[in-house]
Amino acid sequence: MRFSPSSRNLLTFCTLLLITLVCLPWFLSLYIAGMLTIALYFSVFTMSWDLLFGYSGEVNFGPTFLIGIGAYAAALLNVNAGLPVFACVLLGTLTAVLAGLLLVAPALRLRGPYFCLITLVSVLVLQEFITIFAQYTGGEIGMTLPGVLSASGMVNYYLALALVCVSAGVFLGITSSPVGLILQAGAQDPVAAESLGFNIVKYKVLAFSLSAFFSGLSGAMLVFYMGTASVSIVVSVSVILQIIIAAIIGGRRTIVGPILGSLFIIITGQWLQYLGQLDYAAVAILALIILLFFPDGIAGIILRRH
Amino acid sequence: MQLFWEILVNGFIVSSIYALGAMGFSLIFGTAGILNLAHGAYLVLAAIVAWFFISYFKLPLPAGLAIGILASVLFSYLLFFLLVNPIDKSKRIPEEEKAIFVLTATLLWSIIIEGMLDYVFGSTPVVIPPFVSGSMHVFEISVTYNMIILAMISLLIIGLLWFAINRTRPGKMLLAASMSRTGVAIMGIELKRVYLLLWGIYGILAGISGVLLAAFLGASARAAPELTGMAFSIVVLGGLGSITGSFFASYIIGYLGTLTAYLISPSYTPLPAFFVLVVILLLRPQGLFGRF
Repeated sequence: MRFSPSSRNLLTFCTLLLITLVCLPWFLSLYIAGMLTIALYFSVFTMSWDLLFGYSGEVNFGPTFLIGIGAYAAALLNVNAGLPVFACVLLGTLTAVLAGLLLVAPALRLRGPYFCLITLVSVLVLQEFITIFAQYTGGEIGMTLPGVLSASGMVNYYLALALVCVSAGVFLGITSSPVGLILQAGAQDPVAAESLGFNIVKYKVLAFSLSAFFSGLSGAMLVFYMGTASVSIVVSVSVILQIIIAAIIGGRRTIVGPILGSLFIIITGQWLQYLGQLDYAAVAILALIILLFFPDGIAGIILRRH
Repeated sequence: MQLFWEILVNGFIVSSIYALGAMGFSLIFGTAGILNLAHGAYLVLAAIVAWFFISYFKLPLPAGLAIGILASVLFSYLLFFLLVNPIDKSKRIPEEEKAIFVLTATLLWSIIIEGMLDYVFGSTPVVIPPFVSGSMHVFEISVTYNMIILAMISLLIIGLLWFAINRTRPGKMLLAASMSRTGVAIMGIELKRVYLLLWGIYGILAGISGVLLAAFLGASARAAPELTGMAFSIVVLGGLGSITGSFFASYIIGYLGTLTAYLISPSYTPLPAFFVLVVILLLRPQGLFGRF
């Protein structure tokens, strides 16, 4: 049984979601708007992950390899070369795309758990390198960036929202076009798809570069929004966990689901903060319940066809 | 020369304990096809519970260790009954996505265990008191008896495991299940019983290696992901599902780490293992002894 929302349902839902997100900051405190800004950047990470997992069938256990490279490349250029923010974000994104192309080779050779492993290892290696070259990267503490995206909280919020809209538009466009079908076919049976005359390699390269492009862009913008680049924000394994959990509880293979999942996980994370050390465990328990009883996620509940 | 002996002896002890630590992980992947990402959390759980009973209730060492191992077995069954079995039986999760669901579920399970351990017992690393005191001089270096005992226990248990799997009936059942589940079911063996046995053995193995590791290096809830990563590297290098492979791979990873720690710097210890891993995954993804 495959979950595929009917397109009219999806359109209504997207419009509602967009209107809510556009209007929200008028009614909220700056603190909450700031939190939502982070959630928006985060949802771009999750959507990019969903493109690879849900459509291309690649279980990427290292989304922060792409995010981290984009973010750190941009931050390093800003701190050490003093380039303007715009140029840093652009170059950071390009570096992330190169990193994404680096992952295509193992993705074509390795299946199932092996690809999971190599992506996870790539993150661990990146983390080790950041620690080893601590004099440039700031090591565990991270680095403070001189450049900022914008001083105004509102501008920052709408910048993030714009990024979400652009990336969601691109992802939805790609996945609902024939390209999306070919990607899914390549994921389910590469041999059959190739024998129908589709060049799977070409489509994999496209999926990986798109995923890397938006991961890197969002990562780079996030560090300029936060003003710091550190392992705990864009690289660490706990970020990976949040991305995967957000995609699955939001509803995988829907693109919109990951946005909901990301908002859910960041907001509940904030609400549950009074639990102190138990907050992560509480989010994990919630996620487990959704995973077991609603495997199609939040989007699955909302968009279910009657 | 002294350096050489130190690397040789310490590397051997570290590797033997790693080998036991990776056994359970390897067994559960080989037989049930499950990558248990909560493995590190199980090691730490057993260690912290044992430490708690020894230092707060002043229980004798063996009793405390037994309770720690029991806790690991209990949680192992909880994982099976609450998560693995329901996902396996679920009709709403597509067959080809079950593996990733189980993977995610064990990841969440790991966070829950770590969070609870952190909350109940605090995040300071705990050390299980040494089993025996004293040390001896061999090859110009001094080695504590405790370290020797730890390595010996590890090797003994790996030997027992090897014997149990290859020479006893229940063990052969496990081995058969790892090759073909359908075949085992056709032979009239109830798969449920195989799984109950498997998760029991897994709990015991994880528990023992957890307390041994804590007696050697100490343990804290924060270290759980790192331990899972270590087991991961060993099992991949040896070949997913091959117990013999995991055994030899532990020595490769253990010695590489020890060499790096002694010759370059302790902070680079995990790096060579990762590089070996990447190269192996690219050139020979089935690992050194992998079956598939």
